[in-house]
Amino acid sequence: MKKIIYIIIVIVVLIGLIFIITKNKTPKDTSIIKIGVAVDLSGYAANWGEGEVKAVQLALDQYKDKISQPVELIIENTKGNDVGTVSAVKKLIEIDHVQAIIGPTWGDSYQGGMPIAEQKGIAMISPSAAIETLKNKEKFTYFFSTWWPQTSEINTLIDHMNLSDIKRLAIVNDQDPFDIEITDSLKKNIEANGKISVVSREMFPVGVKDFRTIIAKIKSNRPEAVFIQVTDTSTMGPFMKQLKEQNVNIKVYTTPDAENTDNITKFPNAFDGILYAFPSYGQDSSYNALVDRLKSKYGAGASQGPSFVNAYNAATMLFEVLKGGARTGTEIRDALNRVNVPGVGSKDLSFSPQGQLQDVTFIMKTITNNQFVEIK
Amino acid sequence: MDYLIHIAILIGIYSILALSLNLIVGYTGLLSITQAAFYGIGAYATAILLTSFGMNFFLSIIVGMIITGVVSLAIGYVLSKFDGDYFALGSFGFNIIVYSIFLNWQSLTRGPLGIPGISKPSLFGLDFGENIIFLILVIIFALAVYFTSRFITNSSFGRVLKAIREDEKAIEVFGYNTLFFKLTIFAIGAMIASIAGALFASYITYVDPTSFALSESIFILAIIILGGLANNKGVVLGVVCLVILPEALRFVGFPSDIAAQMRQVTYGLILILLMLYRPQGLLGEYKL
Repeated sequence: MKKIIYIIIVIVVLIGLIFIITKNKTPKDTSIIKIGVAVDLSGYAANWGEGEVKAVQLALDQYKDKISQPVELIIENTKGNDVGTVSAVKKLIEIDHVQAIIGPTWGDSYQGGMPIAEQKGIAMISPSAAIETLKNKEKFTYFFSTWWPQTSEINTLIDHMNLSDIKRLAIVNDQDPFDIEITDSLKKNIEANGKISVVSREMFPVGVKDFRTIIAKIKSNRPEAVFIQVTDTSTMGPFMKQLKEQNVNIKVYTTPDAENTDNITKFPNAFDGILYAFPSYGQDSSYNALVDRLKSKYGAGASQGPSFVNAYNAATMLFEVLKGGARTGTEIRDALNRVNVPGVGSKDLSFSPQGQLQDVTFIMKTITNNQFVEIK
Repeated sequence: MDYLIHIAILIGIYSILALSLNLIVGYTGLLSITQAAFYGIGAYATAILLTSFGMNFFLSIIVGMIITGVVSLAIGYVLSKFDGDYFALGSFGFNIIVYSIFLNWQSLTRGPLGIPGISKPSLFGLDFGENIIFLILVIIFALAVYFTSRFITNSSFGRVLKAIREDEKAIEVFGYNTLFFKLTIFAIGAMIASIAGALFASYITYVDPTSFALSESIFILAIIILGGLANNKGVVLGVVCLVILPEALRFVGFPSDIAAQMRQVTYGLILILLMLYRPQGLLGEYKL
């Protein structure tokens, strides 16, 4: 019996290896431009990754007739961890011979993939990685991100708090690197501003859904508003619901992640009144047109995920440089450093020397009757 | 080729981890769900020593093993008060504690931001930066662990471990101090896991707490159950299957919209079928 099992397993493994090696040895097909999409399609950030894939496909629909060669998207799941990201990036570069990669999702998981892309000279554009959380970014010249810079977002929030005469603020965030970074930055700016005092700060692991103790502690500090930042979008609903259950009727501030159709569907009315900074494209016709295209391609209930627009802009910038004739890794990187193209919500999508999307203005928005509304 | 080398490196690292857990679970019958914690201690020790103190990688492995050994002796002593399911629950709790320490001791571990920029090993001018050379290093460590494990389990010490697994009370009647044996193998298993952690940190060049969560301990346990408890060859076979399978599924042509979900379903289905038809694992000698 053992011998039979050995033989079966050896055969299966050999077939697998032969398949991989054969694919590996296949000469590059230069008639097709291969673009990798390495995003989280399982785990906490699956909601983000799925939206990112749809956005890239929508961008390709716009560009496929404008690029001189056909473009093929190869989609890989990074699984939201280092090993998954390294495996996906290696497979895309070594086996599929992609010319550039859109991804990965988020900040925590990409750090394992970045050195590989740098070493192989393949440009990566992440739709949802916060450059600010990255140590040694200068070492990674092939890495770009279309996630929004924090400064403008934070200043918009603080301006609104000052206008609303908020004096006492509580801060709540999970232990995701991006969330820590943005709340640290908010706290620092508030303290520098001097008009608002942070009366409490509560941190919890990613994925926590029971906020009753945290809310009780917040309540005891009598803040006039609370700022919440969580990564796992499914935890925002329970927080808002439990806040209302405990009769804590204070202003709730957050970041653009609030504009998530999934949350509204799962927790109807729980988000009413929440205040958040959002890039000014919210009321832009190009944004509305993109959402219409999403619905027409994927159905009316298609989920966007929080980085849908960022992924669309990432793909737009990449396809623009491909349209301009860039093909090798270095050509694509250099062209990305120079690119200036109209995108959703911006007439001038371009990267800063740090590889971050620049010049993004924010507006304040709220949710009323499950609709995302701009605050004039 | 680099992709294949990458898979081979992962197989090597997980083999070390699985062999270490097999000593504890397979040969001694202690259902420990905490191996990721020791794996993490080794990884963080290397990451911190290399990035903050510029220590040599190989020296950092030794330091990591010492730290892990001390920690495992302390926790092993506490866990020795428990039997069976309670032991499993206690070890489960320990993994959560260590994970929380990685997450919250920010001045040391940088918390959720993790530690990037971990360098590749070098020794007497020989640089292990190339993946193929790193693979050779991993294979050397994996073989050393494999033969150490075989030596332990074939020795009289190993026979006592098996006897503890089968009937602890009976072996105590013969005058054996079972606490000594259990603590020793728990510490040896933990120290071996820390070697895997050091290799992982240096290979991926970045560590953060999510790599050492409870799910990782369960994954390592799944490997040894699938491969076969108390059988070193079976354990390596389990590693090969569980590391290659999800990678091989990347090549199955599912429609792109549902590919990730389909791969996970297929992966789960294969595991269920394996457990249905081989509950003792592929080459198992012992059933939990």
